[in-house]
Amino acid sequence: MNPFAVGGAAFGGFLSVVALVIYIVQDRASNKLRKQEEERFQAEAPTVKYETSPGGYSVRVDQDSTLTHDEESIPVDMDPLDLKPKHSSN
Amino acid sequence: MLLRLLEWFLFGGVVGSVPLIADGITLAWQQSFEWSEFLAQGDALLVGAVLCGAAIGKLVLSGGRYKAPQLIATCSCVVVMAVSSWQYAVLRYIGDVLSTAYSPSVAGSTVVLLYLLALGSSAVAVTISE
Repeated sequence: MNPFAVGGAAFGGFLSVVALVIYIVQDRASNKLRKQEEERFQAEAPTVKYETSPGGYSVRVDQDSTLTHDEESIPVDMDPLDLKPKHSSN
Repeated sequence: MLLRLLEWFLFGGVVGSVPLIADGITLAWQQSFEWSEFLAQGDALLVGAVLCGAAIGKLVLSGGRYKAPQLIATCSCVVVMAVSSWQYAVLRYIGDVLSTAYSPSVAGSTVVLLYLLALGSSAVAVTISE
């Protein structure tokens, strides 16, 4: 075989392998960082839960949040139509 | 990534080698067909150089999220393409003149090595490009 051709080919192949290894390492690091960001975002997001009120309406209930029920959603024991306690007498 | 690699393999590797395959089939009908002499013609080097050139084009136009590996893969493709082109010229002209030093089996194995490296380099380049 031509030694120059073999040497050049070996050099080209070596560069390809180096490029592939660097790409794999960078891709894994990027995926790991993205996964950590997603986990952090989900941990910081308030937990939102929906419950069915006695009147049959789906009512949002905030948990582990700074928002109170009065500001954000209808309490479970309130009638969502007139916002009065359901079992209270007028 | 896999779809990009499959597209490259089908339309670069397979379709690009169709003239080579057609030439090989035509020569195989002849009784005095020798693989080493067929490979020593150096046509596979042209296919490999074209594949490397196409891969360089993809890398140049791709995004810059993986700049370092893209740069190295471009350099790799340029090296393999240059060596393949130079070896093709050697086989076509100098090999004919220096026929005493011209061994079809040695030239054929060099051509196979360079062709496989061109395939590998362009596959890596297509994988890295975005």
